[in-house]
Amino acid sequence: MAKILMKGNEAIGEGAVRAGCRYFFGYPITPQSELPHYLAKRMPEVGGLYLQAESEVASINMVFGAAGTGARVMTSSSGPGISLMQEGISYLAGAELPCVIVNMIRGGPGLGNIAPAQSDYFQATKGGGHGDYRLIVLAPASVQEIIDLMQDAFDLSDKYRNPVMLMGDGVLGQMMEPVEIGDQKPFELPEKPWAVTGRLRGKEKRLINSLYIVPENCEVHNFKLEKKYTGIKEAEQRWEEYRTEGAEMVMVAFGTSARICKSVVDRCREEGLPVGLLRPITLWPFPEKGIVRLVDSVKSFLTVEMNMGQMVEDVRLSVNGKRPVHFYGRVGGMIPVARDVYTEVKKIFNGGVA
Amino acid sequence: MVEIISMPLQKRISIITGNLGSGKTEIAINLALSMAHQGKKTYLVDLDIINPYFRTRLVRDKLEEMGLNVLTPIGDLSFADLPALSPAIKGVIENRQHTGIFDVGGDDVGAVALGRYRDLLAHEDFSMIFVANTCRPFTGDTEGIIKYLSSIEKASGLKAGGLVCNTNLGMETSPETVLEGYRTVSSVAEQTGIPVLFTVVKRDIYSNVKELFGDKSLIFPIDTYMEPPWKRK
Repeated sequence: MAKILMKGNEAIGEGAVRAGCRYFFGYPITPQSELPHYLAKRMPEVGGLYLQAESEVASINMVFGAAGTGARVMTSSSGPGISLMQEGISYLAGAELPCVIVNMIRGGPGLGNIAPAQSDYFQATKGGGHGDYRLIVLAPASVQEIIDLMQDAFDLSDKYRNPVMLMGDGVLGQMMEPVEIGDQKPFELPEKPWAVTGRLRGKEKRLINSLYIVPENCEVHNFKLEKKYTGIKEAEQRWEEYRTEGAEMVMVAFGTSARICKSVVDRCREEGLPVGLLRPITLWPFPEKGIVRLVDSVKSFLTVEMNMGQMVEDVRLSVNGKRPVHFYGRVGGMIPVARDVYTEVKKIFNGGVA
Repeated sequence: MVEIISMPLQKRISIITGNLGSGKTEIAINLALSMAHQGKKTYLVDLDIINPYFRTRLVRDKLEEMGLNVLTPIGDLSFADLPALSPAIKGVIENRQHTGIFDVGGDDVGAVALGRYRDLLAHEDFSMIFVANTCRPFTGDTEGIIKYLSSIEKASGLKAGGLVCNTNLGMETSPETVLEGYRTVSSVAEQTGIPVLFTVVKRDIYSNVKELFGDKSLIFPIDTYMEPPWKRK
């Protein structure tokens, strides 16, 4: 199939449709509105349902309902809307319901603005909602990768019966790149013997629930979840390494920041500075293994984010004090400029002097 | 200094519409520069009320240095996703010494903003131009383009006077891609009676496209002004 030119937000929609998602519940917010706009047109073409709910709180609870019946279902929003959804997200995790939640981050905190940011990293990877739970969090860095990761997002959520969050920012959502979407593969939804599909001819009762009123039972449930999360941590860490061979310094960045860092790596390498990039593709589980693999051969790390320093905490945990981990960030909807990141790299190479 | 090709726009006011991401903003900027180059007092009007990213207001200062008058929402509102339009837009429509290029938001939802000016435009020399990129979703074939065209005409209350072929795959555009797109847009022209005014290409493939096209269509080479952040110096 020929390539087409797509915006990131549209690619999320198309990727979801191709992964077999037939239900979308959401509420518009900049900078992800092209996604519901796209699905409002696309879902009817494939016999799916697009529904604009009255709020984000309603959307996430509609997702809960659809996921409970075993359907592939998605919602999307940006920071403020995702905050409203946190109760529902915790319920989904507690009831072990597979679904995909998209957050195209904007400048915060509060109402903030509509410009791109990465400041919802903590919210996505460390909870956000209440209770001990984890989301699998994927961070694409190109429109093509969005298409590919949407399939993985739905597959992972079904495999582990866990909500998956796809996290990007306004730039990724709005920019256009040529993509190969390939022919639609025939898909078959995995068996979901837990789904509530009606008690036909006296089948055993199934219940979707996150209420464990007896503390002993709730503890057992938590242990079960923790075992699942440990398995995910072991099996699903993903990252991309870019020119890390022989690198003395490795930058760590995801999404839009990683695209900028790649161009910085190229400039550094041209000038003979041994710099590489590690780009986490899963933000949770954080690619600790990738960092550990590099820690002995690298002299220092530089984390670049569009926030005040969030992922850097996970980088430091993985480095475990063996090497210095520096941080550079722009915030409030501002994007790091390649030239400034380069200056930061030079400064670290020169022992802190620009 | 780049060579600026003069586009033979016949009307004092050109209104650029199309679907989301069809290339309206870049085309509007280049058309406005071309008009200004012909010595006309040219206003580039940012009517995009729906897309907060990659829009004219981001490069306003640069364009003003290049001799354009750029009308965008005033002050801090230029950072918002609000339907805030400058009162000076009315002046561009009414002052017959001015040439105006209107960059409208995408799809029918973007074209709604035009409704506010419909009655004023009725007395003026204007044309609504529809831009199509056949590599974009929903406008890959004649039927899709006509559907979009009608929805924009309906939302704006105006009739399109010309089509522009802007078929491209970004950095991966080949002259053959452009030609294939031109054929589709031409068949839209045949079915609707709305002529294809010109075909847009990025300057780096201009001569190759010109050679492939022969005299099929007027080719308008453009420079692009909106870059992703990793391409910014």
